[in-house]
Amino acid sequence: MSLLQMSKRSFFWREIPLFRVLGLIFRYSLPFVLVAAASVATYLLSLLSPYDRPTLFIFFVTIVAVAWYAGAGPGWLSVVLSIAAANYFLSLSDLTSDPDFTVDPNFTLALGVRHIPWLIAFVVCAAATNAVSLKRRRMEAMLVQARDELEVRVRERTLDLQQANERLTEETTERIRAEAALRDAQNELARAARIMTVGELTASIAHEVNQPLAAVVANSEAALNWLKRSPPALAEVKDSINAAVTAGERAAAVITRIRRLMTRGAPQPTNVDMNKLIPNVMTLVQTSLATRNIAVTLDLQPQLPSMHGDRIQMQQLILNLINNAADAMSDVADRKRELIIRTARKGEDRIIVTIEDTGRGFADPDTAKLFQAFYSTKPDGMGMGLAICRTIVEAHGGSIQATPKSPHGVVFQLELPVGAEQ
Amino acid sequence: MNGPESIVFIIDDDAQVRSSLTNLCRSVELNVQSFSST
Repeated sequence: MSLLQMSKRSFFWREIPLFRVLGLIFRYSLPFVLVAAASVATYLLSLLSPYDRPTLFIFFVTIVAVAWYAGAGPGWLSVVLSIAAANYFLSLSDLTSDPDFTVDPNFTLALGVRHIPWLIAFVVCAAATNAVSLKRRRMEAMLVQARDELEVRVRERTLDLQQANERLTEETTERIRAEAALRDAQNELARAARIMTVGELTASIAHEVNQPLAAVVANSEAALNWLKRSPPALAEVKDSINAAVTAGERAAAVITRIRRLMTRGAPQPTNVDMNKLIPNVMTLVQTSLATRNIAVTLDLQPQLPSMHGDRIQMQQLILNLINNAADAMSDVADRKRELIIRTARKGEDRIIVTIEDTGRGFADPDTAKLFQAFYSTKPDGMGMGLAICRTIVEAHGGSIQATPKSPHGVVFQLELPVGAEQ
Repeated sequence: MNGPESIVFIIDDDAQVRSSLTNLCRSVELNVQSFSST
């Protein structure tokens, strides 16, 4: 049941017959009472000036009041009664003002000729007053009804809006929850991809760790040899130990880098200097690239502004693109295998990172497909590397695109926003 | 390898490895020369 129906039902007592009859009696008794009161008032006023025409305006007030409060039937009844009363008072005026006019005072409705126009004018005015009042009453009633219905409709719409708002709030909460779950899933997927990448780089990483360890061992043995001398060559011992420490720190740094790359957790935005990050990533892959005869050129623009983002995701981004380029050049035998990484500033608020290779290029002219999940041109590829790259770049407010390089290869271009906290 | 004409050549792409091996050879009184492989 709507509020409008409930509102209408709240006046149900008007439908009870007893109240209907009482209301009818009240409405139709009102003209008699008010016309009687007006007659008394007119009579009293006529006593103050017995030779003047009676003051009949009080009857108009009566007609207006009855029409306004009691409606059409009682209004017209008040017009009839007022005309009768006016006739009476005009007759009484004839009787008191014209000595030759002799009428029985007990029956004074006989009207003098000179007052007939007055009575006609009174009848017309009374009827018009009643008609206008009734029309105003109907308009007022319609306005009240419209206002009531409007209020009820406003309440209904407000209720609807509140319910819609609650639904919207629930949906928004659900969407936020779903987005958080999606972010978690993406982070997990990215981490799994990082672990997979690190797994593929095991040989390279082992070499990167093995080199400083070999240096540690050689320097330590050298220190022992310097100590065995007579007298011990302490300066050489000191240099050897320092060199061993430096090599050990290098090995530890490689391990730390790999551990960070495999860390589970939410992204932690910070200022990332791509000119430092790229060489760091290169330490993980340089052996792998060297064994595949890939020459690397770094062309890093000095004084490049930092970007604001997650360092690990940026490392993964660069690592994925380097691995992708290296894989694209694995079949190349008729030309130089070359990987070029450049950084540059674009305007005030963007930086560009390009990774170029001289590989096989695109098999499909639709470059957008490259960044779709599970799309791969490699026989053993999962098709997640570039999709993850795009996800990472877009999460950082940037963009990634791939364009063919003439005569061979592909150029991947990253456009990233400069960090706000410069 | 102990004669005055003996010399050890070390060739590696890693500077740290070259340096450490050079140091080790010098500690046992070997003449050493190292070269980068890149």
